[in-house]
Amino acid sequence: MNKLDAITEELSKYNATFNDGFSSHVIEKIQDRKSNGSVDIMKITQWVTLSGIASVSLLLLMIYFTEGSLNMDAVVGLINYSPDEPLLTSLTL
Amino acid sequence: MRVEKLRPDNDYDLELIQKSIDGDMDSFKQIVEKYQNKVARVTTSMLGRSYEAEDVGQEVFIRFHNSISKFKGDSNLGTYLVRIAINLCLNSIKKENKFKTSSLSNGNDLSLGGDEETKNDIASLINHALCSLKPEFRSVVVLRNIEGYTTKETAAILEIPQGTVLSRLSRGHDKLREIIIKLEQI
Repeated sequence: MNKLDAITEELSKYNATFNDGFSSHVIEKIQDRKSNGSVDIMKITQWVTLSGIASVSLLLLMIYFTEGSLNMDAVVGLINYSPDEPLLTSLTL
Repeated sequence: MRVEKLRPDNDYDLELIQKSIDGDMDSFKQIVEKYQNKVARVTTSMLGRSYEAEDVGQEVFIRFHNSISKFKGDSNLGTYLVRIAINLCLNSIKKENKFKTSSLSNGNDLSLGGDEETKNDIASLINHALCSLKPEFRSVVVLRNIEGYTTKETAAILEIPQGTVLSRLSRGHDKLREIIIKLEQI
């Protein structure tokens, strides 16, 4: 048998094992990483979305109570604004 | 006889994977126990019999667990894990430039002692020689000669053309032969 055959035969017999308790260590590490708050991106997205919705709802509620309406003028702050007002102001100056 | 022994291996793996996705860690532990020796062969032959090989082995299963829902069963689970293992080993070698400091000079070596008896043992010689090969040759030799994958499968795992696998294998064998002859003369 030549050298190369001996090498390939030896390689095919190659065997290795990890230390005892390898699988338990893997499970422990997975559980450690879970409990050490590897923050889930889905949870962050959910949190940002929910807080956004809550802020918008609060804002609309405040507008409704202060302006008494939720139409577009109230939302953009033009409900009590008269279009002639700037003209009158500039003429009286 | 247990029912699962009658089923094809892949079906049983898929069942364990589904249970793991549902949060059953005992099923995931069964996967680890089933494939840990396969992963050990890859990581120790790529990185030497070192603590690092075991760390990378653990990382293989942790990465697999983190992306377990992405495994659709298109390929054999063993092959999938070997692919992760090879990639992590290559990353680790790249990071530490390990091929420049082969296991011959590696202080972390677990099983390869310095006594004459061990040095003369052909298995130890081959282990030393493997670690002295450049990573691109080593990965091909490990997959073809140790894991017994075909040229086509090796090419698919390493994402390289089949011709490259064949040329790297041939050059890898030549280098191994050279290294072993040199080591035997020491």
